[in-house]
Amino acid sequence: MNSIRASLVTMLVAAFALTSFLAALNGYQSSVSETQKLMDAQLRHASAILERAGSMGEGNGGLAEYDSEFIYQAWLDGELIMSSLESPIYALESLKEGYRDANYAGYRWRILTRRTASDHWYVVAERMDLRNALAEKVALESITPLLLWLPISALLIWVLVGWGLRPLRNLSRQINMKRSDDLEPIYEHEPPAELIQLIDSTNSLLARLSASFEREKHFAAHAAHELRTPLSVLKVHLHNLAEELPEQHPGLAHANAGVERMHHLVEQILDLNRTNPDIIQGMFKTIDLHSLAQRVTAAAWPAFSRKAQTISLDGEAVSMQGDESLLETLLQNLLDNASKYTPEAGEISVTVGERDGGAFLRVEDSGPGIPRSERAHVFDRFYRVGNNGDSESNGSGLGLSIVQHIVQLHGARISLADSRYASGLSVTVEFDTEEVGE
Amino acid sequence: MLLTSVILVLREVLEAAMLVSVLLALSRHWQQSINWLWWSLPVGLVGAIVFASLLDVVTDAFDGAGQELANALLQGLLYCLILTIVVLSPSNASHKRLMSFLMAAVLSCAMIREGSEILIYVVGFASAGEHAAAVYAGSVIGAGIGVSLGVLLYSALRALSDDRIQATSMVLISLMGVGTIMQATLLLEQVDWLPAGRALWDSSWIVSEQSIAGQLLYAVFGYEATPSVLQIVLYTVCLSVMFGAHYFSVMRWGNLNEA
Repeated sequence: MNSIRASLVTMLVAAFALTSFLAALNGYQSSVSETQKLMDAQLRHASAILERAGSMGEGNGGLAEYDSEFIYQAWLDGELIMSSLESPIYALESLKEGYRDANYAGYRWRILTRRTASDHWYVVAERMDLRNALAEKVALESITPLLLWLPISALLIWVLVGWGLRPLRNLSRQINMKRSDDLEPIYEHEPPAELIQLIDSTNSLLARLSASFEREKHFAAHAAHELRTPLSVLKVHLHNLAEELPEQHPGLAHANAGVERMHHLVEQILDLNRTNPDIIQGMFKTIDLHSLAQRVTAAAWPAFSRKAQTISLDGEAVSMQGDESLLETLLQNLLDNASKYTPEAGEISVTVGERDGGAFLRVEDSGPGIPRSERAHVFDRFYRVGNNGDSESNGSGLGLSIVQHIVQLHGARISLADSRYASGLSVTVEFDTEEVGE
Repeated sequence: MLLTSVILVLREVLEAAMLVSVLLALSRHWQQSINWLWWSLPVGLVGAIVFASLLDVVTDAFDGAGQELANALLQGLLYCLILTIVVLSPSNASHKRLMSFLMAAVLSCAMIREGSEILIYVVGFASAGEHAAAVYAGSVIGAGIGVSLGVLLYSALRALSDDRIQATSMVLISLMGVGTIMQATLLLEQVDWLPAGRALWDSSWIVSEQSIAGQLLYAVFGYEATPSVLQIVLYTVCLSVMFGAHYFSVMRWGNLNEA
């Protein structure tokens, strides 16, 4: 996964480390150079002290423990008049004023040759390796903290980049926490310049989406309403026509059945639109699911009795939070389907109860049931089991889509299984615990 | 001592870091897995330790020319692997597994040679005691500069537009591949397996091999301040082969796609 924070931190740490290391190298070189200059100055001081000692007739014999590190000579008219113990009896370098480097006794030496007004030549020399080691030690002391502090800098960069990216995190959290039906524009107080474009684009997208939902909401509703009027007129004309035509006229029966199907379809489209969870919110209140089931079952009784079907209601009173009107539509659709697909004299049962702290509603029938392979598709709009276009069942293929809408609005789950009868379907809707009222 | 450590470690780390950067950028660009990185790192590390521990045996082989020959061989192998990647690049989508293997092999080879050099140097000098601090500090600075430049190169390549990543990465990896031949020629000249001719020019007054810029150029195309005629000839031939092979591969793949 790509992370802006990780990429930024890696790049910043790399850039910071690069410049720090280059600066450290630069500092190291300067420190070494300055230390060498300092030691050259010390060499000059040593030469001056030697001159003073020589003028007092002292100085021969050297400095005991430093003999291997420091050599001096004093020359007058080509003769060595004074020297340290380790000093050669010849001149370390040709007697020429200034600083020079030369090899002696297996080491490289830094030599200062100085001529005095009295024509004395003073030669002082220090071992280069010791000087370099000292210079390096001084320089290292100055750059080591830089290396040790680098991890702290990296940590600081990590934290600061995190802070810097907070507006982006806030924005993504705000978008993430938006409810699916909340199409209000995003608001960010004093957004950074980099996010203004993103916020503007997102708000423009939300506005277009909202307008599109509004259009969809109104189009289906208006279209269905507009269809109702001519259908009613058609029904009246068919009724009048029935007065004039002989009873049992086959054309009239077909026309009536067609108008009924059309009427049912229009009502279902209205219901589908009325229950769309993307565009509506439920009016939730505490209801008793069992008494709701009683009411709906009683209202559906005439349809069952026409087919001599038996309907039973089991269970106990259970209160829950829900939209009463929508839940009535849900059960009506389930019962409508059960009645339609169950043969004459079949059995249908409704069970209401409480399980795992949540309410449930189950409708079972003794119809042919739905093959397992088709169960995943029955919630698709206009899908009919077997898809044989059987007009006998008078189904629009929208009933279970409406049921699913209502299930979604209640945050519930719906499952299909075999019924407890020899054949048939069992539809169970389970509501979440928090939806169950006190 | 510190500067010597910086230059030696930088030279080796920078070369490996730039190779990893370009290969990673190509992998991302070709939408391939970068798993090759995770198993080539341990292989390269173990290889470097084994190579460094066998140094005495290797050095004594071929009348004392063993180490140079082994390194030259690894460099030659690197060139061949990079050449294969360059040739297969136009048809990378059809050779995803092979490409991953080649990238892992390139990194492993580079790590074995460069890792062993660093190990030999750091272990050798650090055990000397008095210089240990300078060697460690120099190694950290050298490695830090090398890795940082690698990370920045990768970031720069990723920031390029899609149509430029491929071309830039191809040029870079080709130059790095040919650079290995420059280094191999130098090694073979050192052990008299190739005649060491007179230096054709000396550009150390413009860019010293011992400077950071010199090391950067060395890592990118095997910069040599005083190249011999043979080095220049071999460099030119290998560069022509690399670019020529890539050109013909692009043409052939283009024709196949059109057909």
